[in-house]
Amino acid sequence: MRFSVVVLTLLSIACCGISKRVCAEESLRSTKLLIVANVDSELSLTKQEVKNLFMGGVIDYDLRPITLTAANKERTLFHARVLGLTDARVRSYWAQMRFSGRKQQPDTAENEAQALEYVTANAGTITYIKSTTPLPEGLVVVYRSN
Amino acid sequence: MQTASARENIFDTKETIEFSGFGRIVGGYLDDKDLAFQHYQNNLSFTEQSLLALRVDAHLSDKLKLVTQGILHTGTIRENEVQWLYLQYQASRSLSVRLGRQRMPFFDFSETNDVGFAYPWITPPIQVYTDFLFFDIDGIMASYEFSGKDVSGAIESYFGEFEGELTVAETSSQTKLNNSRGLILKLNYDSFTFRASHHITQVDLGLKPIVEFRDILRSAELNDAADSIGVEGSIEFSQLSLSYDSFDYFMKTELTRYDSDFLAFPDVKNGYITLGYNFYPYSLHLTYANSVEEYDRPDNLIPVGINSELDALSFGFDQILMQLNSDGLESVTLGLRYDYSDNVAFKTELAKLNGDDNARGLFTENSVSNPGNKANFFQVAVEWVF
Repeated sequence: MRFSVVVLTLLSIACCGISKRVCAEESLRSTKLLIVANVDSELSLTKQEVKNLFMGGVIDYDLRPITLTAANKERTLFHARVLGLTDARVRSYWAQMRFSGRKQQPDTAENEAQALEYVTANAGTITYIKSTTPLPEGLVVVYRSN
Repeated sequence: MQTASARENIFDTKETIEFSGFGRIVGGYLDDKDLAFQHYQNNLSFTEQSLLALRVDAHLSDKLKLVTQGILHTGTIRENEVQWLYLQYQASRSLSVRLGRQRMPFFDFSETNDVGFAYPWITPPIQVYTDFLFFDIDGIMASYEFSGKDVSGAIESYFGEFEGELTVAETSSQTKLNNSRGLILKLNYDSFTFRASHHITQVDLGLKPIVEFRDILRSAELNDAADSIGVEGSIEFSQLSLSYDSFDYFMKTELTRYDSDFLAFPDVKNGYITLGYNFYPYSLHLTYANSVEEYDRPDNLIPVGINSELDALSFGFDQILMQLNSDGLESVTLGLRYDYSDNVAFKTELAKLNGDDNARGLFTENSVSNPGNKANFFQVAVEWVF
């Protein structure tokens, strides 16, 4: 048992030595996301509600979603794990919504830190972060992705 | 000036005027030298569907904005035009109202038929997305969104009218739509989206040759015959669609049906199903589409053999009926999309077209020697949004 753990650890280190990118992607795959909001009280949303909110729809709660720019891996993870769509499909969806005048794309932060800064400062806003990111005081986790 | 749909950055000040747009360069080639399909012929052409559009959203207040969208075409039958010009009032988070020129929302992609970046095909299934059903009406539309824990959706309704040129295959006419209204229901559940809609409109197709011939029939007191070749009346249109979108796969199917109470507009049933596979940045689709058209052809009751005038009128009546071309068409299309960047995609598509025997089958030129209207149609496209 102890031997296998050592072997796995060594393999893992070797893997990182060979390719940091591969490890980074592996790490990303295991990363979970938290959907966090600046709200007064405890709030729990379903996956469908989060999806609806970030795809321009309305839910029972008046929340304004903040997404990240395309350069952020967290956005790709969010699209895949919560919206259940590829980045390409999400972009074509927004083209349809935009030019049919139906829905407005969420406002965008440069990165997770900026999104958190903005959401912390603005009541009624909501964004997504890695589960390993320290949660600022005042924010509530409303949904955890698998 | 701002060129994105959302603020570039949340800390930027929101602009009062936003500019955005889309474009496409589409090439097509038909492998039959005797036929033309959507005006593509037996040589590679990039002029039929290529276009460029600019949209302006002017925010007059937090709740009110003016939207306009102009479009430049290279196509032979479409004109450059202002497609949209409306005021949108966001009464609440759930309720919005539009007033002005807007597209009648018959289908899933009625309002974005020109935005190739928004869908997997190069040419959306032509049996359903027939050019002549894209009316830009002047009217009012209200949309109410609702949601629950697991289901969300919207109910929409509109009322309006249209006057302009309508072209079906090679035939153009000055058309009027009055008292056009419709009701649309959309539901989202998990990865599924469902849409059902019903529309009714009063139509005057204004087809001059038929109108003039009817006047001649009436002057000869053949009123029953004149009444039987109507170019105006009501059309009822129904639509059902279901989409499934997941990370790996997608499916879209849409069924439409229109029933008219006058001769010049056929009763039509059509639909398509698209099955697709995503392997980012690529996606592959296979689409089957079909349409069945039927004219309610009246019997020719004009007596013949009495005098030459009646004989001529009877012949003319038969000629009118013969000119009513059916557009029954079956097609199978295989397409590939490559998302090159955030706002640019390349596509290629091969369609096998199988028109009804002795029918026009949505071809714009028919060969007497090839009445079956069978051909392969190849297309390439670059789509972008900005």
